[in-house]
Amino acid sequence: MINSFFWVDVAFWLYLATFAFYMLYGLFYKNETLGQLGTVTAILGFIANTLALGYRAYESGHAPFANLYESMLLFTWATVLGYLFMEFRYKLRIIGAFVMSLVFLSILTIVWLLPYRYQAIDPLNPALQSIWLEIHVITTFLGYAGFAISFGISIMYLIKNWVEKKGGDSGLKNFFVRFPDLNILDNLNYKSIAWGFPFLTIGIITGAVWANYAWGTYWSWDPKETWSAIVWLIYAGYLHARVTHGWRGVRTAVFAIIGFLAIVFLYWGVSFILPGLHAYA
Amino acid sequence: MDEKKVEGAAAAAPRQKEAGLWDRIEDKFVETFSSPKLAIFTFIILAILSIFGTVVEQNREPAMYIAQYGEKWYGIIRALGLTDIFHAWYFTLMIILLSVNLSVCFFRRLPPKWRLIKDKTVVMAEDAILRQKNSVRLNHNVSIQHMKDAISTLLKKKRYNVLIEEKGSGISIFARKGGIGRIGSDITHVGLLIIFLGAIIGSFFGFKGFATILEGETKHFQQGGFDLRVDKFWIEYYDDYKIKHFFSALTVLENGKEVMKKTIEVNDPLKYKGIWFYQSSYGQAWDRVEKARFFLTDKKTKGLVAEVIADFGVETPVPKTDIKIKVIGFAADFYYDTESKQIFSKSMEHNNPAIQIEIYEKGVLKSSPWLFAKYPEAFIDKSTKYFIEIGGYKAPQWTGLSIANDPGVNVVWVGSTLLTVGLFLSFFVIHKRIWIKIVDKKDKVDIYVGGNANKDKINFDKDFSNLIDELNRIGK
Repeated sequence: MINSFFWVDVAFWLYLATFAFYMLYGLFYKNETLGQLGTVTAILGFIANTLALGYRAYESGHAPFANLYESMLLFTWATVLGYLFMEFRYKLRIIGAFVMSLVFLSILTIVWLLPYRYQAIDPLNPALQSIWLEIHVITTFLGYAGFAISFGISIMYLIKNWVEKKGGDSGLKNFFVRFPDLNILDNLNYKSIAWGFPFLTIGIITGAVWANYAWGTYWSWDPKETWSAIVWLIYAGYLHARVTHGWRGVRTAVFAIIGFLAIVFLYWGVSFILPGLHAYA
Repeated sequence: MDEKKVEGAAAAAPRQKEAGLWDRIEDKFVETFSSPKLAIFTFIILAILSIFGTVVEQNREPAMYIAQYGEKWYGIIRALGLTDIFHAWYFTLMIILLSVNLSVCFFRRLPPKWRLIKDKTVVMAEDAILRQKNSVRLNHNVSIQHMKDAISTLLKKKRYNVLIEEKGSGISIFARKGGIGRIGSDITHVGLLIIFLGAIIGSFFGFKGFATILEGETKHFQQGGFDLRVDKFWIEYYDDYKIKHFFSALTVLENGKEVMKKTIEVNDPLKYKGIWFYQSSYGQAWDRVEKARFFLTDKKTKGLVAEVIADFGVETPVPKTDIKIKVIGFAADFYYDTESKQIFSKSMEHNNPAIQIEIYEKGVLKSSPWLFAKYPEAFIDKSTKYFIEIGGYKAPQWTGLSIANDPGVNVVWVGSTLLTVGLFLSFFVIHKRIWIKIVDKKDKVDIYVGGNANKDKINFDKDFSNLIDELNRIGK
């Protein structure tokens, strides 16, 4: 039977394949075909992911962003979209090994880890019935996607930096040969954040506009709001450190990693640990 | 030590030296407060304080903190301002520090950038052109006028603003675009300041409130000088009985005249005279009932004698008996205050609903007991031979309205828009400048091309090499 769960499963296996192809491509230096296979499966996975969201919207009768399961599908969708865009522009497939591992982990999480009740389609509660649901969630997740890619690149930066410092032969030498230069990684890291930051900002602002319509106040220091401000401050700090203060390399990579960990907390931690108004996802 | 020296000197030549000291203080101030270091520092401090603000729940009742942290720690947490950290003096101080930082930075950085964007110096010497980040020297067999026209057309097609000056045997061209991208960050900074301004306006001149109004009731709002009537409240459900919508039909009255009608729901408030009414919650009245149902059983035989539904305040005869029942009071969460000897509902929840009735037998008031819906046998009225039990009641619905008036909210939206526009300008609009000098060498021309961009050098490298390719094509 073809329904949204079917497409989630298809996307799951395709993302697993993508991740595997990019990894193998990195390990077996000479084989360009593996990288191309990675790209093809990534595109197919993206299509399946799109269909999963589309079917879900059709089945539930509302935008499929009402709970953690649905929004995670949007997260993988936006991240893969961002990554493919980057691949076509910069032709650096090795980045896929890191970004797609994160995407695969995300889809693994919702398929296997998330309690089953999250997969159930719930009708929208009154607070969520607004056009701002679409605008707020989509902009926020476009931002998250940029930060997720920046996280993958930062990890690559630290690994490459560590390997270069250590020098000599390491077991995964071929793998690291594929890595772009440190300054290119640093630059791409900045570009992903420069993409994520304006969208996170719009996400926060549209959230405020919506809150003003639904609750009568645009900012109430609800845990979700507060953590979004914390994340915003961290990346604002990154941008000032890099652009104005001239930070580069390890320090900015660590900054970007801290930023993404804060996002994981904003996205998952706040929903599960801290009580508040924003109890959907 | 230094200060003394300056003071002494100042005494000797007051005016001049005083200005010197003042300048130094100003320089130091500007330097400190426009530094990115200070910005990063305030970001980190604000982030850490905000984390505290989510770890410790904000603005809760003392009992909750004491239960969670104990008396001693509650005292410490309270003294540190952690229970309301976003309004603590040190949080405000950090926001002020950030605002000063933003303002000083704005005034210090904008003027030179503005001059650079507005700069229209067309003529640049050949060697200066070759010193640009990207530069090249070409040589072609075409006429100087042809070359000039071709370059001008080409650059205009690439959406550059093109300025041309002819002097002697040479023609200078200056092309630029995307200058606004340079001041994107300044627009963002101004946007953030305007958001702060809006928040201040809201907190000083706005108000927030909450009202529970029963269906059919009218409430006066002092602040706006008008009345609000709730005509109707109702709930719509999904098929699985989850709540889909809840509505209140509202009418605004001024001096008794209907001036506005609107049915509000969550995400669709009523706005009148700058005051917004939001559908927030709903519930059943805690101090009154519309009607109640009673069961009467014979105390001896334990058999059901009769069932009766009594409207509030109406003496209602119970069939098959000579008893009349009148409902006179209700408390949703019954509480008896021993000191004041008063009975009231201690919350809005229907935790322990109790109804007070008057019992008449043959027209004589026998007693006026409180009956408890959940504990029917708690107090048994002894005035008659019947045991009276509550079989249900209907309390009127109230609608919960959040009320807000925030004259700063539009200021916040203006600030937000500027902030966002500024971000897009500063990340995605690149200030590109190209200088070209064409020197006539009889039938031939020497072309000097140089240029730079304020960010994304890789992008500009590509642009520049494309431009050179096209110039070479023109030369052929």
